[in-house]
Amino acid sequence: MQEWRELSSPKINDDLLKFPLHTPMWFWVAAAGLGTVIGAGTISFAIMIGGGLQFLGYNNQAQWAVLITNFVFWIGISHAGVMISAILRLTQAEWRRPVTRGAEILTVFSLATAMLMPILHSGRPWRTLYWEFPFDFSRAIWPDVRSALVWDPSAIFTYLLSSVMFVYVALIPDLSVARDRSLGVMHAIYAAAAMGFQGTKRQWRLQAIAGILLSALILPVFVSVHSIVSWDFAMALVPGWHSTVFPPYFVIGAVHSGVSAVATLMAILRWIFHLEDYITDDHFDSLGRLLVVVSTTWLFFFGMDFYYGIFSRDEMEIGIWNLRIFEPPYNVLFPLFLLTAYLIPVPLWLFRNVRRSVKWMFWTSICVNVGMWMERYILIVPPLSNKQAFPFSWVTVYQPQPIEWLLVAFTFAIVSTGILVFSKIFPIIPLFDIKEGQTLRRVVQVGRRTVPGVVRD
Amino acid sequence: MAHLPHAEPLTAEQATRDARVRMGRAGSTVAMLILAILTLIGLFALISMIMGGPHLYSRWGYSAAALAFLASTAQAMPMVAFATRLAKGYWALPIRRIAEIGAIGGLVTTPLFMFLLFQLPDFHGRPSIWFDWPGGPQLWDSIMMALLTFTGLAILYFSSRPDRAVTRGTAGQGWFGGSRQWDVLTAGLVVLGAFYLMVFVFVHVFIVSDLAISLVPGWHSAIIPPYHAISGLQGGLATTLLTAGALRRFGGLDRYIGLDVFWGASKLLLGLSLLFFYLTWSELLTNWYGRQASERFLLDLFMFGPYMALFIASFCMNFVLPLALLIWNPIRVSIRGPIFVAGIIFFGNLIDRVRIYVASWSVVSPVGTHLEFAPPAQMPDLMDVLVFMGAVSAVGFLYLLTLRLVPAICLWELKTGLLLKVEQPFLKTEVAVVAKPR
Repeated sequence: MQEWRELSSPKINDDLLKFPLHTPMWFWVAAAGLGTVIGAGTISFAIMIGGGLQFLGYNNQAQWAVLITNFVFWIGISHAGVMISAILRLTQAEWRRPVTRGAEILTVFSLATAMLMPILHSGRPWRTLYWEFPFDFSRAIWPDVRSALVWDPSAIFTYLLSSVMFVYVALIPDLSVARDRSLGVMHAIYAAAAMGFQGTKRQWRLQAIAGILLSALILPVFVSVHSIVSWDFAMALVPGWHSTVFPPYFVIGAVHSGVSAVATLMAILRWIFHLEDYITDDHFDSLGRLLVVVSTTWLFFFGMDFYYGIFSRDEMEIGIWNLRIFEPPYNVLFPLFLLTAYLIPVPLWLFRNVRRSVKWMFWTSICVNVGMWMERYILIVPPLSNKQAFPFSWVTVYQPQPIEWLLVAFTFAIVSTGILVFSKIFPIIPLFDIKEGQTLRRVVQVGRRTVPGVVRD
Repeated sequence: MAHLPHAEPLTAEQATRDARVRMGRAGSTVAMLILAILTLIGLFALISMIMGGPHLYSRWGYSAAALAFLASTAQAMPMVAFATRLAKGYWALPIRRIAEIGAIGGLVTTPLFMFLLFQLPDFHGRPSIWFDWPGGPQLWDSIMMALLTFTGLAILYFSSRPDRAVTRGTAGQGWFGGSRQWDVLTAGLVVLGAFYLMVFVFVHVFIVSDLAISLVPGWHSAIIPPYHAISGLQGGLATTLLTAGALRRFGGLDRYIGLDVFWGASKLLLGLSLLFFYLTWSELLTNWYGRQASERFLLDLFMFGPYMALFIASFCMNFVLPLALLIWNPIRVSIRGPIFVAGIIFFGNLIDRVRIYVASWSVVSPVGTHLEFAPPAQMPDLMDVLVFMGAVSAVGFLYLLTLRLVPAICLWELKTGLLLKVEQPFLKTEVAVVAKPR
C-alpha cells in the first residue's frame, strides 16, 4: 500500500498547474538545447534526402541497421503507456495514479518518433505514400495487403490514435480545471478542449466508463503493435529472425524497456517539478517490483530464442549466434547488453533500498534502456551480416556513421521536446486521479496498528 | 452487490470451529474408493503394457499426454496460490489452500516422468536441449521434476502448519505462533512460491522439449515451451476453480468460497485464454508464412492433418468458448459461469496435450532435418485409456486423502483477510475498505 500524504484539493491544483500556468527560465534553456539537436537532425535528414542513403553505413547486406533499431526501440518504449495505464487501471492498482499520464504521453511521442524512422529509412519519403495508401487509381497502383509496409503503419496508426484518445479522455476533467484558472488565449484553448466539462454526475460517469472501455480495448492493440513489428522480422526467412517466439519476446522486451523509461521519466519529473508529494518512494518501489517480474520474463523469452535457435543445429542459425556472441564488434556489445539490460539492474532491484531510491532507479532504468537499444541492434544487424555462400556477401562489418548517431540523438530530442511542451500546456500528473485517490484512501485499525487501506466496492 | 451470493460473513472463531468439525471427515469415502480402484486398474494396465514386451516408443504417446496433462493441471494449481499471494489478491484467500494441495499431483507425475524418459529413443545424434550433456535428459529432468514436487509439498506443509496446530492440536510440534515464526512463514511462502514458479517453468520446458519437440525432426519452435507453461497456468487455474466449485457444492464450503473468488478468477481466466490464442497464433502464422518444408509438415502434423479435429476442439475450448462466455458480465459475475468455463478449459487442456504428445510420439524416427510426412492419427486402445484414467484418478485419490489431513481453507490467511477487510461509512453509504500492509 502506498504511503499516504494528505493533500487538499487547492494544493493539488496549485502544485500540478504551476508549470502549465507559469513559465520558469529553465524551460527556455531546455527548449533551446533540444531545439538545437532537432535542428541538427532535420538538417541531416535534408542531406539524406538530397544525397541518398550513402551517408549511412549500409553495405550489400546490412541495410536494416540503426534507423530500424531506433524504430523498434521507440515502439518498445511506447508500450509503457498502456502497460502502466490500462493494465494498472483495470487491476485497480492504486500506485498508478501519478504515473499514468506521463506514461501515456511517452507512448504518444515515442510512437510518433518511431514512425519517422522507416520513413527516413525509405530514402524517398514521398514514395511511402503510394506504398501505404491506394490513391493512384489512374495507374492502378495498389498496396499489397500482405506486406509489412501495410501492416506496420496500420497497426501503429491505430495504436497512436487510440493512445491519443486515451490521453484525451483522461485529460478532460483537468482541462476544465485549467480553463477555470487561466486567462486569455490559454483560457480559450482550455475551454475548447474541455468540451464543456462541468463535473456533473453524468459527465463523470461517461468519463469513467470511457476510460475503462478504452483501457480494455487498447490492450489488444498494444499487444498487436509490437507483435506486428516482430513479424517484420519473423516472417522473413532470414536465419536468426525467423522464429515463432518473436511476437511475445518483442512485446515483453517492449514492456521491459517501456516501464524502465517510465521510471526514468518519473525521476526527472520529480526532480524538475518538485513533485515529492505525488511521486513518492513507494511509486519507485512498485515500479521496481514490476520491473523485476517483467525483466525476468523477458530474459526467459530471450533464453528461449537463443536456445531453440541453436537447438536446431542448423549451420546458419549457429553461425549467427556465433557472430553475435564471439565475433567483433558484437562480442563487446553482447555482454554489455546482457549486463545493462538485466545482470546489473535486476539484482539491484531486489534490494528495497535501491527500489526506493530515486537516484538508483533513475540510473538503473537508464541502464536498461541502453541495454535494450543494444539488444535490438544485435538482433537486427548480425543476421544480415552473417557470411553466406556467395562471395559478394563477404562484406566488411557494418559500422554506424556519425549521421546515424546524430539521428539517434534526434529521436531522443523529439520525444523529450514533446513531453516538455505537453507538460508546459497540460498537467503531467492527472489532477482528478490524484484527488480521487485521496478520497478513496482510508485507514484500518488492526490491533494496535494502523494500516493504510482503500475503498473497494 | 448485496443481491449476489457473496460468502456469508463469518468470524475467526466460527471458521476454526468449523474446520475442527470437518477435519478427518473431508472427502467422500465412496469417491475415494472409486478413485482408488481406478488407480489400481491403471497401475495394472501400465504393468501389463510393460510386461507385454518391447514396443515402439510410440506406444507411450497417451501416457506422455497424461503426464503433461497432470503437470498442466494439478501441478499448476499452486501457482494460483503464489501469484495471488504475491499480488495481494485477497479475492483468492479462500482457494489458496485448495490450490496448494494440487502439488500432491507430483507424487504421480514424478515416477511417470522418470519411466517415460527411459522409453525415449537414444538422444545421441539428434536435436535435444541437452546437446549430449552427461546425464541428460534422464538425470536432470528427474531431478527437476522431483524438485518441483518437493517444493510444492514443502509449500503445502509450511502453509498448513498454523492450521494443523489449531485444528489437530499439534502445537507441540513447534508451532506456537510467535511473531518470528509468522515473519518466517510469510516470507518463506513467498520465496518458496517464487522458487516453485521458476522450477515449474523449467519443468514444462523440459517436458515439452524432451517428450515432444525432440521427437519431431525439424521442430525447433521456441514458442512451444512458453506456450506449454502458460497453457499450464490456464489449466491450473481452471482445475482450482473446478475443485473449489466441487468443494463448495459437496464439501460444504459455500460459506467460505463466495462470488468474489469466481469473479476475480474469471478475469484471470479470460486473460490466460487470450494468451493461449496469442501464442497459438504466433506459432501458426510464423510457420504458415515461412512455408519451408519442415514448417508445412509441422502444420500438417499438429494442426491441419490427422489431428485437425483435436486442434479445432482445443482451440475452441481453450480460447473461443472461454472468450465468448467470459466477456459477458453476468457470466463473469456469477459462480456457475466461471466454473462452467473452467470445466471447458480443463477438458480443452486434456485435448491439447493429447494432440501435442500423441502426435509427437507417433513420428516414426526423430532423426532427420525435417519431417518427411505426417503419420496417421493414433487412436487410444483400452490400455491407453486405463493408464490415463488411472493417473488422473491417482491424483484425485491423493487429493481427497490430503483433505483429511489439512483443512481445505487456509484458516490463518482467512483470518488475516477478515482483519484487513472492513466496512466503513463513505458519504451516505457503507463501503468495503481493504487494508494492504506494506
